[in-house]
Amino acid sequence: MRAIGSDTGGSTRNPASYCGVVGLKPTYGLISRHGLIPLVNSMDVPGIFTRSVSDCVAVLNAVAGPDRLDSTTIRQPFRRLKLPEIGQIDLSTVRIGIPKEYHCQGLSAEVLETWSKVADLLECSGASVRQVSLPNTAASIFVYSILNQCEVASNMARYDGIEYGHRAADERSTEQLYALSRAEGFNEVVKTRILTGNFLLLRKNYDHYFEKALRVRRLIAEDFVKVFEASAKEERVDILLTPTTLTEAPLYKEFASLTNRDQCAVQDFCTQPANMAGVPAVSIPIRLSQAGLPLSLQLMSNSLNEQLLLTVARWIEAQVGFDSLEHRQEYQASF
Amino acid sequence: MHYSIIRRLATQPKLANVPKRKWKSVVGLEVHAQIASASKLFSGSGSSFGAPLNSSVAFFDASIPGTLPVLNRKCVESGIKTSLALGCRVNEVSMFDRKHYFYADLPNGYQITQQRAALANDGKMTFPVITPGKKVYYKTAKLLQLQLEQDSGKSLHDDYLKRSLVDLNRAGLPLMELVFAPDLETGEEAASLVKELMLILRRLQTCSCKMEEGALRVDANISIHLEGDPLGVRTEVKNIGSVRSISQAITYEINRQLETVANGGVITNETRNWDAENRRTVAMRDKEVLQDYRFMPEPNLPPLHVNLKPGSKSTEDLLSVAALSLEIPELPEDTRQRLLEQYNLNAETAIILVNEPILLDNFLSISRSLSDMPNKVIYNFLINDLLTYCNKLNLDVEKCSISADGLKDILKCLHSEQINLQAARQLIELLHNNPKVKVNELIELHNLQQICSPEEIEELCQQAIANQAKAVQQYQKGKAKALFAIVGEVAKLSAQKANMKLVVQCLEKLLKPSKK
Repeated sequence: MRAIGSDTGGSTRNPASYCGVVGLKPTYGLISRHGLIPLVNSMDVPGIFTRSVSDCVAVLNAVAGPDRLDSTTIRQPFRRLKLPEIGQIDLSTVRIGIPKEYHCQGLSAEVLETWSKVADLLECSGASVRQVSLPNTAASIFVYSILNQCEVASNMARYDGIEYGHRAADERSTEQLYALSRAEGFNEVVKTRILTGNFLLLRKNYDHYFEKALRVRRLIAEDFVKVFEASAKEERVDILLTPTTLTEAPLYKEFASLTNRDQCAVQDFCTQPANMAGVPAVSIPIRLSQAGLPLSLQLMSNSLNEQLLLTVARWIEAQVGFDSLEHRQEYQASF
Repeated sequence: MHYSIIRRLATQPKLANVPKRKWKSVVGLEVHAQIASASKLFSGSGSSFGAPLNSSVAFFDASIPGTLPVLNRKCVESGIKTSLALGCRVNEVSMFDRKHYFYADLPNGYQITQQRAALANDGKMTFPVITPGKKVYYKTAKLLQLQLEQDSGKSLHDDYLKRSLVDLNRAGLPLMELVFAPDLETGEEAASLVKELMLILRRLQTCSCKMEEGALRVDANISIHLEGDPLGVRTEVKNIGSVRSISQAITYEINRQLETVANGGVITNETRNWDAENRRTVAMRDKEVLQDYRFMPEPNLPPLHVNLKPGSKSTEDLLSVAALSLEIPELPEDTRQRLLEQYNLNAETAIILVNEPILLDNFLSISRSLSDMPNKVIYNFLINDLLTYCNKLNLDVEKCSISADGLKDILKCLHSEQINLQAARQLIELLHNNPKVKVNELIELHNLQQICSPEEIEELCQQAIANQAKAVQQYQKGKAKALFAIVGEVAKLSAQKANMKLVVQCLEKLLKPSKK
């Protein structure tokens, strides 16, 4: 099983986490966005869904690398990844960071337990594991909300019913045609984002919101630089281990009771800082919950360090031996 | 009405004591120049003018979701060369922004332009101002900014079927927007600035400057104020379609504003269209509401870096400004100086020649190949005869079908006295109408050879003397000017073909002895 998704704030990793498959968000600019319908251009990356980490590497090797048609792709040639055999993986040189800010409100006990167990597993196998801080993590959701709405407002401006797409029957004037086509064509979520985004981009608001959001985004990105590239070697880590989602997959009724913004705030809390910073992140399934639903964890590394990121992911994958199909019995029993 | 008249009369005596302040007009220009390039600014589709509707449209130009802009290197090179030629500071880093507004011929709902950090700033242009009947003078205008941006498509309105259609061939074509400071005062200055800009862009080959194709578009900001006061409220005049219209539109608008104020009216900030047919500016019907363009950085284009190091070379990823500066050809003002120094031309002649590139090319080419011919004969012929002929026909000199070789042949015949100036002028017309026929054949065919044989000349002179007895008498009494009448008679008798130098000599010889 291989599939391509897109990941702006976690849209590859979150579903992968809930469904018990591997979901990779590569470094921003590693895979071309040409052909990808944009949401937030500066955070969008094509994501990869697979059953296993090695399948994920195979797909990445096939699609990564510079593209003339996407000016934001990284210009240096892509070196194909080759993961060591499980037996050859040496964790003694790997430093794992546990960012304390990800231990947040709403984190389920099962996810927390899974997180601790895997951290212990890594430590017992020779990796150095310690707590780190990414102090601006909580701001990420607000920054994301602003940048998302602004870019959505801009990216959706093309859906005017002139060149393609839905066109309303009202042709009294071009303005009427736009207004009705867009009123009919967009749902409430998109309309809210367009209105808010356009408001935030007004000349009088730009500095207060958009410009400020960019500055906070920089701080969030710097949090990652500080832990991955700290000048003091003992403060440096190679991999961050976090939850992917705060809980197992929620029931539709729980999900639908939240507003779209709150849905994002909960679902994307752990995933979208990586989009802010552009660093790669992978979600891998670890075990099933009491309810028989997959529980996953996320690994993040410095930009373009997919080799180590996926090596550690592969090692964990081998240790936990997760296979959702194998657990099918247990699955059915719990319902 | 009555009230205002009375009031004006009542206040007039008081005003008379105050030194009268003069009205000043202020003009600033914004020029959009389409960059001459084979493809669009951000897509690979073609850019030729007049292609079938919607045939030069890449997916990106039609705003198909998932397409991304890719900056055209050639356009950046052209932008940098133009910036350098106009004395700008090229910015090491410039950026692209989205400018949002809804318009049917703007497929994305935004235009990609450079708002926060333009390609170049702080240039200036010094150019000769040519006003008919006035002395030529030089003027300088600051160039505030030069930015790269996309052109929009074109809306076509079908009044009959009551519908609008969109042609996206122009959507995404590369533009340089040049924003000049309001340093000008008159329509002639503005037209002269644009004329010089066109000469420069054509030399650089960065823009075809064909206003009739929309390749160069000029918007003018115009205001008036009393000397010493801050600048007045400005109006913007758009839709100016030719260099001549620039001068006319601005002059009209200045006078309209002066008249409005004189009648007690107020100038409002508005956009007006130039109506070339009726030669006036007209307020645009749909009053523009104050637009907020909701600028945002274009996230799909990384900042544009250039190498400013002296002596650097361009690489695949980084253009060198120093390397591009070596590609800048001689600019019009340098040519004028060269004409003054190397060819001993006067300033005005140099300006006329440089302003008509074809005349300059002809002058340099003829001067090179006919080295014994005085430059003065050449430029006088080009300016006084060729240019005058074209102006009379309302014909662009560029479109005149006479080749440089044709002009050379005429001048050779003139110089060798095979023909006289009258015949040379006739040949311009003949050659323009029959560009394939050789000059010598035209001379034969139309019997234009100059009469030079002493016998023939003397015979003509004798007859003229006989015909102009009165003038002869006056001349012999000492009225030297009377000779012209006799000379004119010879010209008439010879159908303008007699060698006038010989005629004068002959007449003087024939008439003088009797005086003794």
